[in-house]
Amino acid sequence: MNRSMRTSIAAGSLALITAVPALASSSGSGATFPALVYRDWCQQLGCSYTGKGSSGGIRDFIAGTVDFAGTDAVMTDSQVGDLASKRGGVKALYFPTLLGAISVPTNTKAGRLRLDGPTLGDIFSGGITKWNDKKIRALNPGKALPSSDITVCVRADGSGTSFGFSLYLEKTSASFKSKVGNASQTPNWTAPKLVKQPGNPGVAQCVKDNADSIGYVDLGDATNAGLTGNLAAIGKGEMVRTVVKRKGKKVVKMVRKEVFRLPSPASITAAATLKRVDLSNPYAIQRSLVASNATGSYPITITTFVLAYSDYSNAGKASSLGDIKTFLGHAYGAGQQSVSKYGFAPLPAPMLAAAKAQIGSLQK
Amino acid sequence: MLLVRPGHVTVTLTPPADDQIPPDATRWQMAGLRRSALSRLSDRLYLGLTGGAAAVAIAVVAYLIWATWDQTSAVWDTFGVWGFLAGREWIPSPAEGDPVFGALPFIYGTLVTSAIAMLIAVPLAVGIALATTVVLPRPLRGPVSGTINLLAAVPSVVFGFWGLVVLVPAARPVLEWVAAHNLRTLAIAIAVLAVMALASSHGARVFSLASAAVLAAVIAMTLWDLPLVPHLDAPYTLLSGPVISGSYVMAGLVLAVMVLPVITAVARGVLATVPREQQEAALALGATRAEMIRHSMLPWARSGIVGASALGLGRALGETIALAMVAGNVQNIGGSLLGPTYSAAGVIALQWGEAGDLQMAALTALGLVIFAITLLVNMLARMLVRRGATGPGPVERLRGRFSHRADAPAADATDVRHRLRAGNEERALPRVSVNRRVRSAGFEGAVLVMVLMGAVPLGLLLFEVLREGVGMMSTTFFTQPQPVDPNDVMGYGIKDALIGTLVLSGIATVIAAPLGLLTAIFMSEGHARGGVAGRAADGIGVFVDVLLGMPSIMAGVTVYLAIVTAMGHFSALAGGIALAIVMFPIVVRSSDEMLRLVAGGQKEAAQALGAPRWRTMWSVVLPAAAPGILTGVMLAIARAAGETAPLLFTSLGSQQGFEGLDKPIASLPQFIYGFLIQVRTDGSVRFSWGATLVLVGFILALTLVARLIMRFTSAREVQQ
Repeated sequence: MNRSMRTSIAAGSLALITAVPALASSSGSGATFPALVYRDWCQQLGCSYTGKGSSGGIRDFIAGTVDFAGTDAVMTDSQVGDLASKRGGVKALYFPTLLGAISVPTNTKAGRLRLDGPTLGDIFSGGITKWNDKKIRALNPGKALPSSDITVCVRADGSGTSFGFSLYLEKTSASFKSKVGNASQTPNWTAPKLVKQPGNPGVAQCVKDNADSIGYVDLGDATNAGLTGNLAAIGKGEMVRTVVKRKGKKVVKMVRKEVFRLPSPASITAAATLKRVDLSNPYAIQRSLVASNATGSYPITITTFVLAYSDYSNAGKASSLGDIKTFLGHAYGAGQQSVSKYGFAPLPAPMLAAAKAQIGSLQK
Repeated sequence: MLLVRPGHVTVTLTPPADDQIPPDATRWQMAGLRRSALSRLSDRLYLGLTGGAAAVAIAVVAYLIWATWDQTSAVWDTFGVWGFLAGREWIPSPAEGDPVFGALPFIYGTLVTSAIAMLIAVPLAVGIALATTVVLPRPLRGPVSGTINLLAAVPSVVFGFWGLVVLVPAARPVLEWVAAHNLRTLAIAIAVLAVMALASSHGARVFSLASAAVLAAVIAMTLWDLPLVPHLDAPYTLLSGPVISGSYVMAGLVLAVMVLPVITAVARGVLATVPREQQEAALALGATRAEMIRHSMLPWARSGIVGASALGLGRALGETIALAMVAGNVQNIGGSLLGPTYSAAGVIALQWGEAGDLQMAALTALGLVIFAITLLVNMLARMLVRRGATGPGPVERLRGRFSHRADAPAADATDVRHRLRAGNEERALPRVSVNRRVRSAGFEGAVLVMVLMGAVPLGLLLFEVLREGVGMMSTTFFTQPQPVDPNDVMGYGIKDALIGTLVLSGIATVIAAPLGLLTAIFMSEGHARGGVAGRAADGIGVFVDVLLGMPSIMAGVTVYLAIVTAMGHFSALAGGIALAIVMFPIVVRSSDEMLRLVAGGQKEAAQALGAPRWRTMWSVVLPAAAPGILTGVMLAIARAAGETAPLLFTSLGSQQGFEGLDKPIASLPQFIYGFLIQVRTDGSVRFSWGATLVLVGFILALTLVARLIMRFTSAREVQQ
């Protein structure tokens, strides 16, 4: 090998190492809940997304090591302060991307069960420990419920699914709120017979492996695990048209009744009832979705957010802004169609409009 | 016998006349050979170079520990050292009040699961190592040990998944039976363990005594329903139901299967260094094969076997995701071994992603606790080895053992040889009593049973990898980008992830292998020299042991803090450095064991010939130790290539192809992790098995290349 050849090979490999692609490919990290959808979008756009947990994403976002982050939870005050001090005083903008349902699979001989917020709150906080508890029997008349202990399968890792589920239980079960506390990525479950598994597939597997068990997983993973037939129908009060007799006449009246629903794209979308969406208050959006009383809605429904910097130059990320706009443009355009493939539902019109409007406020 | 390469040793020596030879070699060297100034200078340089490499390593480790310690101050300020270590509550988000972090349940879970794993894996590994060096018929040895070596390349997430879907369902009825027949099963288990302890006895008498004491305690507690830790939990029996899918026993079993290849590979390397003469001497003295193994091989290899176990223990203590899949992950001190448990490394990996500031500090502090545990256990093991190592040499001890027996072999080996040479072999061989023959056969039988017990689960795993993986093999699989939709994997491949893994483990090897080997050489020379260098070598040994027990996720976190935040973005380079930190202690520890075992006589012979230290190392010690060192490097690469956790913090992962060393990059284990843990369908599972097969094939290819290189170089070696 002669000298010039050697030099050119060295130069070539150096160029290979340091070559910057014409279109800088952006990367994001964070929530695993919507990871499949974001990866799908990225596959088409040329960016990358890595699911590592909402807090991990927020940490990367604050450190500026990613161009955008995914999160189910809202940043804490200290995280907001950190972000401002480390990234040139910028704020985080929340972009909701999709709606998702958290399903409740059970594994008992009784087949599909009917459960509601207060009952689930008792099961996951330890107030109910046996399947033939009278509260469960009352919801499932005629079912042969076993007398065995309930094995409760929950997430071992911190998770947006846990956050959404505990947000629902906190809102609907007073005993859960007093024993376990507020919604969290890592709730302090107080059920006596717990098994904690990493990942939604782990929880699904746990429900399948242990007789007389219950768990919570997002709809897509429940479907993948073949648990669709075992998902509990979740009950909540709804105003139902009922025919009553008044003074000998038949009158149609709206009466509040407990209605049990399964998760489906339609019942997920029905949960979104906000007419005016204020994206600067993402926590309010989350709380408006869970335990919604809207007719036809599945009550354990949540959304998830993409975090973007309010000012990309100040954040030291000026070159990424174009990519982010492309990503969000796809998310609210063609991308909305592909969410149902993964068991999610597209955003309702008011949220979509607010999110699209917010893209304009991203500053160079 | 001296192994030198032709043309390398240029010193020719006319031996002094017989009457001039002083009794000891050092004085002979002083009298007969004056080494040139150049030779001495070259030795200085050599020591400086290796010492420099060791110093770099030390500096990095010291920085890691400091950086880790620096992160934890909030924990000690809030809870106090004792409050944290002895705390039994771990509640990151309580219903009311402040979060509480106590480490005890995790320390307990880590210790108990690792103990179960070591109790199962060490005897099995030693058994398999013995079988593949002396007991099994020659044609079987290579394939059996080669198969087991391959399994070191299987990523831990695959072990975990296999444990979850194959081992757990298979063990479940057994455990349910155990729970129902507590005492009887325990008795059987004890009998089995006793056989194992006996088989590996003498070489490790202290361990046998310790395990006997543990077993006695277990029996007592089971008989009287005593709690393991009094006043902490309600009384329980050690193996009572109900059986759930994640438990101490399941976790211990999966860990045992995981560490078995590591311990076996290193123990085999160690046993292979037992000098042929030593084995032949024992046989010539009339020892049966079992006696030869017990009195000639095991004492020689004892320190190396302890070293191998330390490697395995390091992996067990630091294991995260596989354990998390089969442990149940519930804090549970002193509960039934069939109940759930939670390990320290497991909670670090599971809670890191969503941890707040104080929780992160607490998780980091847990990492430090694992450091400390590994260090303590390793120091204890070393003390035991050192205490056992003094006294008469193996052959003398052997002679002492037999001389008082009625059927003792002839005291003088030359006598036996003389009689053998006389051609009357049948009558010349000493008679072996029935008792000794039965015991020897029993020992060999026990070794074969261990091979079966160890090889069956590993073989099943490999079979699963092959059965599920072979169907995926196609050109598409190697040339197409990775799939996104787990329900639509056809037509996709692992191209980018495979390239990523090659790049990452390449960077890691380039950094860790030379640095690790140089450090090991410095340790070996330091020990030989004594004084300051010796103490430095001891110190480095301690640091390496600490690093060995570091949960790999911590390597990722420290590299994240030191490099990723400094660079401002994730990169392949950062990932490679994190993997190098994982590899480094494995390379040092295994190389150190191998260098130590090269017969002192060979080194002394070379030095007596006037060779400088570096030349002795280069031409005599390294060639002799090379197979073992290469095995160690292979194990380290295999381990690094299968890592997931540190990469999340360093190379992040990418959906694009290779874009440069300063850009995020994909990797096979991360891809497998995503397709087994984060989402799982039939298609994604098949895809993951395929990717695992590729990883295993990658390690197989590396091993084959290394073997070829070895064969090529060893052909040039001559025996003088």
